[in-house]
Amino acid sequence: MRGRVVIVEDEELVAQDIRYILEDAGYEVAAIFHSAEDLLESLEKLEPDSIIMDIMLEGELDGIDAARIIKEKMDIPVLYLTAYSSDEIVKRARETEPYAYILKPFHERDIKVNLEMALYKHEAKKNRVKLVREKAINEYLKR
Amino acid sequence: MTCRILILEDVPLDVELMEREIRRAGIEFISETADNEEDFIRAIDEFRPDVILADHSLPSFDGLSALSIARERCPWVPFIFVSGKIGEEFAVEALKAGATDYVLKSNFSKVPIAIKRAIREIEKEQELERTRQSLIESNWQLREAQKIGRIGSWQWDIDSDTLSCSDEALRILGIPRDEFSGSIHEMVSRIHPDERRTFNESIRSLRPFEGEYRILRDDGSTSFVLLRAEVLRDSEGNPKSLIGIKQDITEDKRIRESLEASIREKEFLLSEIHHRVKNNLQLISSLLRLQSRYIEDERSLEIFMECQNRVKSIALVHEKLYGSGDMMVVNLAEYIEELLSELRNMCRGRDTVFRTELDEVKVGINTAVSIGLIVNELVTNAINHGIDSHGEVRITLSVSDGRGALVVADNGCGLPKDFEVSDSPGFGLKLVNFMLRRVNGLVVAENRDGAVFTVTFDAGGE
Repeated sequence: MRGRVVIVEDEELVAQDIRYILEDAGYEVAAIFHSAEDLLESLEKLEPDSIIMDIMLEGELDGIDAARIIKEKMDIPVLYLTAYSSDEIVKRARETEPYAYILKPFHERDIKVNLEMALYKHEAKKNRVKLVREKAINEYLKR
Repeated sequence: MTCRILILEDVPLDVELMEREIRRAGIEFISETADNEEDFIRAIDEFRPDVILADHSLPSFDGLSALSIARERCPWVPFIFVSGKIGEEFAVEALKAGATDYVLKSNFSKVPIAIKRAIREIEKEQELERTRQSLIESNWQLREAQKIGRIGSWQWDIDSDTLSCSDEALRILGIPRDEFSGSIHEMVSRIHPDERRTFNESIRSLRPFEGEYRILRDDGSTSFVLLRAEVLRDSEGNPKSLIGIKQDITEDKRIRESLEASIREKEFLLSEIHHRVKNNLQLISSLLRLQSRYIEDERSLEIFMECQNRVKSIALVHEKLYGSGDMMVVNLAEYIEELLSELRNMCRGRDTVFRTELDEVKVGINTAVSIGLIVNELVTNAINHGIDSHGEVRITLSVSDGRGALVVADNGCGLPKDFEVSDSPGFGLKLVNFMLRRVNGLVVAENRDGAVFTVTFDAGGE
């Protein structure tokens, strides 16, 4: 199993499409949510490795709001998957430091390649942080 | 012009002598004679004289009474006394009462001179009156025009530091005429505090200037005013005064703002529509992919994949439209580049090279969709049937005289001998033919070191 992924997409058909693509590629789809509120409620229980997030969702919050809230308390790579390409939305999205911004309609490989990259980059970042921490501890112990 | 002369005289010989002198002096005239009050009055009303010649003493009437009647009934008609003898006292009295001139009967030759002089005076006065009337008229027109156009005029004399303003200029400033004392400070004090410095600097620079200012009126309202000024100079070229206009643009500004708001709204709605179109195309794409999972036949699967590519190529048009600014045109070169980068993914595991030479061509959405689908089919064909693992696909786009030309060429094995582009068994080329009809297009297929498709189309359509 390559990782646990949560899909946030209010169009059921599209969500199922993504689920098949991910499962074919060897990922586990931990859950599918239609709204940001539902996602935030269950996120801590699920502990996914990554989130594929639509921006326009059912409910009050949009995908960017959700990503901002998640970023404050957890370190989970978010990939946006949206039909929006306006400068304004892209700018708002950028501030949440996503790992990818995929435009709809997407190709199967858009999802696969971007997710693989995101997980790799995230892992590398974690290792880097770990290394720095270990180095600091070693320096401290040496004294 | 024939001069109409009314003669008040009881001696026919004197009338004849007078008329002879007048005729001799070359004055064209007709005359009427009266020798009593009743005839005199009727002649004034009916004959309508241009000049009155009057003896000062008649048996039943006298010259001064005639003068006062004439002054009353036709004050503009010159009244000349022609008399046997006129004492100085009487002459003074007559002129005071409004007589134009007097001539002695001993000197009849002076009569035409007096007439000519009187008529000249009258003409001068009439000319003056006409000038005065037209001045009043154009003043009125100017004031009305300023009111209608909401443009006031102003002039600031530098030496005397005085400001003069037209009625409309004062209305724009919100200063009542009777409260205006002609100081530039009155104008400055009505300008918004944030903009006073700029205005003062503009005025003191003694150079032409133009700017938009907010005016605070006494009634608490704010208006937007365009101020514009030119410099008037004396003969030595020194600045003498600033002359300018102020235009109330509050209404224009309001209209402009509401237009801008409606344009923003339109853009928002358009981008919303593009968003929904793309979402629906995503739905179609997902639907095709979900169903394709139940297909085992290789050929059928390929058809589903091709359909997905077509959906994607249409979606890309909407992507490009959004980025185009006015959301109505697509940069065809950029669009084709992006399409090709999608199609490149079909060549995984092969050493295919794409060469492009694309001129900037801006087209409408329908043309873009048609050309996009044509490129999609021709390039897919080249990849799948034309070239082997080390092939090259060349795509060029150019435009001349409103006709676009698209060439898709490969260096593969070429087209089969009996190939007919308009009668192809495959759906791909059928689709190309359908799309060509939408853009008034033509396609030519030939072999030149590989298959070469040349498509020409109307680049100016929607």
